[in-house]
Amino acid sequence: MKNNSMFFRLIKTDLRRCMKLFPQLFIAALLFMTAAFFIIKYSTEIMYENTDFSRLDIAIYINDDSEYDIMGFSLVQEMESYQNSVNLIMVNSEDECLRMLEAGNVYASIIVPDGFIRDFMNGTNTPIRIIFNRNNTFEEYLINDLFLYSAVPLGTEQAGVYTINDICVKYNIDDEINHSMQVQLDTEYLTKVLLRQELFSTNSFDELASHSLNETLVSSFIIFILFLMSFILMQFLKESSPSYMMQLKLKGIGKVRFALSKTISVSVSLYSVLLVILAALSFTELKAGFSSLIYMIPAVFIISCVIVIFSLLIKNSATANLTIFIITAIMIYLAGGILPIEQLPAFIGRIYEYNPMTFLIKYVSYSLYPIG
Amino acid sequence: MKFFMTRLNIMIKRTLKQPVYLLMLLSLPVLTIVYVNIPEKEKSAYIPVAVFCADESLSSDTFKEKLNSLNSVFTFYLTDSKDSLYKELASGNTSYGYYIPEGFFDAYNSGMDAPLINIYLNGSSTLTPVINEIIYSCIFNIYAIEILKVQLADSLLFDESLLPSVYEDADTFFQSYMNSDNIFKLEDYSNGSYNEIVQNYKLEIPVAKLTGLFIFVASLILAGSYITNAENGAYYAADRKTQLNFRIIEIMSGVIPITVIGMICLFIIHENSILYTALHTIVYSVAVILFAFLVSLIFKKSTSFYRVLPVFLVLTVIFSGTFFDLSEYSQSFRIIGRLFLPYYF
Repeated sequence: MKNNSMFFRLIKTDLRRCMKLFPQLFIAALLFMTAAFFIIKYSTEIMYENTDFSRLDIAIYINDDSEYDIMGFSLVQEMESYQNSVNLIMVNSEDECLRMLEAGNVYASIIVPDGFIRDFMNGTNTPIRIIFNRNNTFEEYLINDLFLYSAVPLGTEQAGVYTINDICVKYNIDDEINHSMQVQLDTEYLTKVLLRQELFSTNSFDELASHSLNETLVSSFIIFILFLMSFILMQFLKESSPSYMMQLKLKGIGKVRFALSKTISVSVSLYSVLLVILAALSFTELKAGFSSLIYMIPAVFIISCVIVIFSLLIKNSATANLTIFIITAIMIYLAGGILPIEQLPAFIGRIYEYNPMTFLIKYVSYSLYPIG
Repeated sequence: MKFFMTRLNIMIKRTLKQPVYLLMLLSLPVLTIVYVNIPEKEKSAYIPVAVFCADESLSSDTFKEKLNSLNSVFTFYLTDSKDSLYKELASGNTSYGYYIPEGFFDAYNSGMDAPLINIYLNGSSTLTPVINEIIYSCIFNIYAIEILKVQLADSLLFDESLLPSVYEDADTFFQSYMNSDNIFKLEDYSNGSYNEIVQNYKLEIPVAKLTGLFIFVASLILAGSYITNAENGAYYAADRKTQLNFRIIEIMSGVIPITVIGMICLFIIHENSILYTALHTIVYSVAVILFAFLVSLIFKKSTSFYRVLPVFLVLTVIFSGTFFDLSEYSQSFRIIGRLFLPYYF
């Protein structure tokens, strides 16, 4: 009973000593958070390529200014694939088209023959000329692919309509019904083709994983920052002299209770730091759930235990801090906490499964960002 | 002056014995030699696109065949699960992942609303509309014949017993038109020669940026060393002017060797002319020495200095552009980067 009351007194004393370090802990946490913020904000750009190509200039000359050809040109211009990839520059003559290509002002020149749309609707495939400079550049091949594959539905539509006609002719179907079936099919085709880009939905690859890249990085950095607080807490952990330890022993406080008291004080300090971090996160899109305040308690306690164990095992403060720093950094890296595990060499994948930090990061991720 | 030079000489010799300093000093020539001897490599500029098709209908088999036979600047390859698709994206093997959900082809081919094809990206890109056109050309090819058959069936013009032979005729006619020149087609400019698109590149080693960073780090380490020595009373007996001299000497003893080695490495790499490199490096080193001098004046206690140092160095590494491309940052962050001297090297 007396030992217990002594133990509780020790805890209170240690907590009071720890509280004096709170200002330094908060400042250090804020500085580390600032560094972490930049890395997290630009994590995707740093780790993955952005393939943003600027729109490629293409000259186009339409031989006939019939309303059909102009309408066709407008339709093409409004297609999303063309809007994002190319800049169609209408010119007044075929010579100007070719001159711009020779001068290197455009990547390709398109010459649309007279009555192209009218002929197409009548089933006559008057060829469009697309001329490249043959520099063998990536951009030229990209334009080639864009034209080639966006034109495939036109030919496929024709094949479908001709097939209906041939079927009707073979099976002696009335001409009027034949014609109406062709029109109906053509309408179906046109509707689908015009709405084709709506078939696709773009998402970040993070949605395939349980937690996004940024959520994992936040979890890793929180763990790292809490471990780094050992730089400040070590002076509190090392301030007990041998005579003080002897006095505690005489009062029934052995090494285990002593270590437990330190762990509790360090846990309270680290939890306060965590509250600061969560408060800062609440202003960003990576804010944590309210339940994380409860779920994070075991994680904070584990981190505190590790810091206290290192402080007891390693005599020199600077060496203890450096050891905690290096081991934590390496283990977080090997747990895929900085770079996704898929980007690391294959043999690290085997370490990943048994790395205790892997489980800690996952636990913290689920605590901060519960799924469902 | 004689005293200054003698003292500087002694301090340089002392600094050169420090392991961390020697490591920084030796790494620059090693990296330079590696960089100079790395041959240029050729890399095909094809862009991989991963596709996972969860649909298991016959149409999806046709789709996969068409995808594999495509000739495009994009190389499409199939993954066997959504998990594999994610791994391909997370590892950076591809920037584009396409997921075709179950039941897609049956719904789309019958003219009903089909579930969306999900595109997963690990970075921003303006090329997805082009990739969408390519994938859609395969989908439309399958849809065109299927919807035609649906229309033939719905027209009620044919007995049910006759429909199979009607469908067979439809397939035959359709394929024959697709393979003929009677339909609209554009000529393929590439003629399958996408492997001719190559980019020459050399492994990038930021020797210049590392030189700037190391000069900066060395100056701060030696500034910290001066503060510690001053705290221990090493310069207690010296007058104020002599203390200032010692301060500058100690910082210079760290900056000068790295500056000299760094300059030689930059001459070898030939990034700029010799005169420009020499002037640029000297001016930068002087600025760094002044900065470290001011820092050593501000921090009286070594404990405070060494607490702030790691955070400052981490921020410097982020903003120096040594490991991260500064052009990826927004304008405001690039302005913050200008507060850190290595940004200018």
